Amino acid sequence: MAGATPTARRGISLPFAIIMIAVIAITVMIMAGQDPWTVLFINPLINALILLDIVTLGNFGLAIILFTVLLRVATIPFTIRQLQSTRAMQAIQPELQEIQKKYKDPKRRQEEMMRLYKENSINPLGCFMPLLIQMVVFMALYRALVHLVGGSPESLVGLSQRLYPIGILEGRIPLDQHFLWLSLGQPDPTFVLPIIVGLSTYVQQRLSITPNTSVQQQQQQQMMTWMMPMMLMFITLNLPSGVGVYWVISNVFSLVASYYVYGRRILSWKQLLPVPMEPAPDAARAAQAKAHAQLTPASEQTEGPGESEAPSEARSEHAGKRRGKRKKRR
Amino acid sequence: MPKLLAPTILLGLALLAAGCARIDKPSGWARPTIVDGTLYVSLDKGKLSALDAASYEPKWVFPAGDEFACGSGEPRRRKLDGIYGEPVVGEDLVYFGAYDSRVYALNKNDGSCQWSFDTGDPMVAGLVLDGDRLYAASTDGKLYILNADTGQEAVGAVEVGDAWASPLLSEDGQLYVPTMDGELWKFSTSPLDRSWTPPFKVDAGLLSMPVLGDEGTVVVGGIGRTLYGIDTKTREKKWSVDAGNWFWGEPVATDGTVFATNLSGAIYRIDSATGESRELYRADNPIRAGAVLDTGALITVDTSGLVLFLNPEDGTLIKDVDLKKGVYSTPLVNEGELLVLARNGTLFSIDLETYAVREVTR
Repeated sequence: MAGATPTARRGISLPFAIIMIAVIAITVMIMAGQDPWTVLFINPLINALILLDIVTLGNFGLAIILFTVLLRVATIPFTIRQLQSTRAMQAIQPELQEIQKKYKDPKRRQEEMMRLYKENSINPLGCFMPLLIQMVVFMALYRALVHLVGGSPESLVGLSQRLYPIGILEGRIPLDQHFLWLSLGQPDPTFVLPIIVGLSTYVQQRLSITPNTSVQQQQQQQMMTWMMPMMLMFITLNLPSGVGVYWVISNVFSLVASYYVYGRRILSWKQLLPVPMEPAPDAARAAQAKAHAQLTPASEQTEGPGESEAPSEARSEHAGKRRGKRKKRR
Repeated sequence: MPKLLAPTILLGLALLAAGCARIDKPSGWARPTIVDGTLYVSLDKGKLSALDAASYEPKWVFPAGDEFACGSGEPRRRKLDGIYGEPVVGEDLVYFGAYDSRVYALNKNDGSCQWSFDTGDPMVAGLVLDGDRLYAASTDGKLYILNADTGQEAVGAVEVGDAWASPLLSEDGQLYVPTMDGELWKFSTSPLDRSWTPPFKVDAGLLSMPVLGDEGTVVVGGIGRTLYGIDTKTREKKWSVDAGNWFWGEPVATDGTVFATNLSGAIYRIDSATGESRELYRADNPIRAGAVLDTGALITVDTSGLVLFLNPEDGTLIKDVDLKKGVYSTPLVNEGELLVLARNGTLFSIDLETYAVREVTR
């Protein structure tokens, strides 16, 4: 437990600090009569993308890819934490189900669940941070691209109000919006990019399905596995292609991160097939969990039982690494 | 729980973003023009209308339908996209460049298309007509010299750079072509030859149509937030005026004084011989439109649709008229009225004596 406390504190305090800073900045902007969304997100993003366009020697498509990679690298701690949190959530599913069965009083049930989270060093909101970052960037990137490569003189009028007065940036305007077969400021009329977005999202979703959840949850997951790619495909049909490029590269990065956390067998092609997975019997998983809890220190009980074959190997290995690190620190 | 909830929220917000925001389609902001009692104006996106300049009764619209053909043997096309450059009118034909990359020549009387020429990339700049020659600077980086009657290339295209601003033809036959590469080219037109090699060059794109100030000074500005006065003979910079934002609207010059609007909302008065400048007025919104001078007033309009009537000497606001419609187009004076084309295609008329506003079309 002693080892869990600092981790949990860190997990809560960093997002909290970020949110607090954002709230303060937004308040200051509003008081100054500025649009915080534009000043804090869109304008810096626009100028950063132009800078990256310079770095990539005028290839704006590569600039978007570089931006995506840099962003995902910068947010790796959040991503890894999200994946670990997800994995830990999978592991404690049997216990959570037990609690839900055992406690009928919602307040008590909530308390027990929170206790379980705390014991396992899980921040239930931990997985929101990467998604929040993704979401903010997704929306800001859309607006930025509309101005940067909107494909019309009108978009340049908007850009004039957002470009920082730096000669090297101004000298790049207008940006070349051609990349491969795409016009980065316009939706892809060939539908190829939306299909790639859909496929990459499907693969990413499919490989992150948690097999040790209840039937109901599995059904929900299956639905999301189809719904997410379909919806993103539909959205990409109407958005500047640059946003689609961002999404594809981001998906690829997520796959790499999943590989890092879950191990090699995450890439099993069998997992891509839309075959519903059988959940492990609750009782068996609960027993496994109990045995695991007896063998493992509380701070490391995120490696719960009953997880799919693929992640379990990697999990043990990963847990071993973490134990080793902790020993070293001691 | 979070595993399912979070992507759902993400998707919801993404959908919201996709639904609420939109991509700016090229709508066009061509300044209207009046020749021989006919007003040529783009009231609808990708269409050019001819109206009686007195009654504003429509004469014709091109293209009239959803599809059109231009000249004999040319395939039918669907749309022109926006029209940004001011139409130019010859003896029998009216010419304009469209964002669909083509230059069009229409019959003045009925609007039928006589010929079109494909430049390869969108046309943003206006055209220059000089006798039987038509100069078209395109965003494909070339200056095309066309036979105004046939639409055939009279001379091979000249590489100049991505051009967004209309070229200027001076009375002595010199053609000034600004480009987004930050270059201002000068050509002698008969025969076509580069007068400046290399061209005048700055670090950022030149967006505003050049104007001639006092004798021997050509004035041009752009993305670099600077307006330049350039010696027409030596190509040397005589002076420069720094501003808060880009110069895009066409400056207006009279008696050695240049008035220039800026996307910061500022309006400048500049002595074109010395470059001595003064900020005459600052609007709350950016100004994309150029300025016009009439009956002792300097007139321009900001992007929110606020028409400003200023004293050109000291910048005193004589009158402002709020059209409550976004405007990017430079206004035009027509027989005691000011015509202002809004972004949504509404053409407003403002009486220059009473400042009464009426919607001419929509």
